[in-house]
Amino acid sequence: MAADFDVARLQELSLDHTIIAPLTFLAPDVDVPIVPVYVNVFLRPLPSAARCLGFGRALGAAIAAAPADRRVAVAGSGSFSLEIGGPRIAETGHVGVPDAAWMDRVLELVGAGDVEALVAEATDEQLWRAGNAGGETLDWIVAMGAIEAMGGLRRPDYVAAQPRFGHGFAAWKLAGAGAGAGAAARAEAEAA
Amino acid sequence: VSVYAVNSLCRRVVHDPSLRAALAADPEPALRAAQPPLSDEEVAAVMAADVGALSRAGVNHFLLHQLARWELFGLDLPTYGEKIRAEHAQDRAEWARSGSGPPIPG
Repeated sequence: MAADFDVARLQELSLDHTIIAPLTFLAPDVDVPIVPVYVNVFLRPLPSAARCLGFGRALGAAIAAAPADRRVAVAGSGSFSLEIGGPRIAETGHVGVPDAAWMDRVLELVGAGDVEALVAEATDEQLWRAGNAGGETLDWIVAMGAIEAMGGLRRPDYVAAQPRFGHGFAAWKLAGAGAGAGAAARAEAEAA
Repeated sequence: VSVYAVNSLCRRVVHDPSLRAALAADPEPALRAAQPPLSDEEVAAVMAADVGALSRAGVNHFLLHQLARWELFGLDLPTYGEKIRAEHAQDRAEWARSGSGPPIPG
């Protein structure tokens, strides 16, 4: 709140695949505290890419200010180009990748750790061109902003494409303060 | 067509196993019991698994395709895809020709 982002506290929340799918890989026993961060990347009006970067930086700064012996992982999840069930689906199946060039470009910028260029190019028009789930690129911008504020944004330690679903995977290992903070950004393992 | 009632129903399908069971067992009464209520036109479209018409009416596609994911109203995902492609065949041809796409919603 001090950074002028109006986050909310909820006492009831049902989680879905956006959080459960990454958890099955990162913490299958759900034996660590989890702070869900939801950003509206699907129903317009969407927050701007610059606003998402600012939020990610504020999140990363808050994590960096936490006690040094606390290990924290940041996970972002979302596609670069994906149409789910809409008119731009592929010739078979129920999903499609309407803008493969954008998918490649996002992966290139993620691979370079260049979040500023990604923000400049992730206009609402571009995100929509990338499909009805194209706004999910914004989740990556939030995660990269957080990693930057935690002092670790550079070329990722791991990066891979999954073109069939219009997304990719990337991870940054942070040898940060104290016991070492960990951060990772990864795309959903499943399309929906 | 209110659209919102259909969107709401589709979302609850994902989260509520008892609703899925009711819709599978006896679809029309379960559909008519939905709150907020669907219009007669919406009930008819959902009963007919006419996802093309519902798409055209503005139902959210991420929510709409959940009916097929849960295999309700005789739908499955391949059938859903075929119906959506058929409904938007002309749009798709135009977008392919012009390099454009659907307008930004909202």
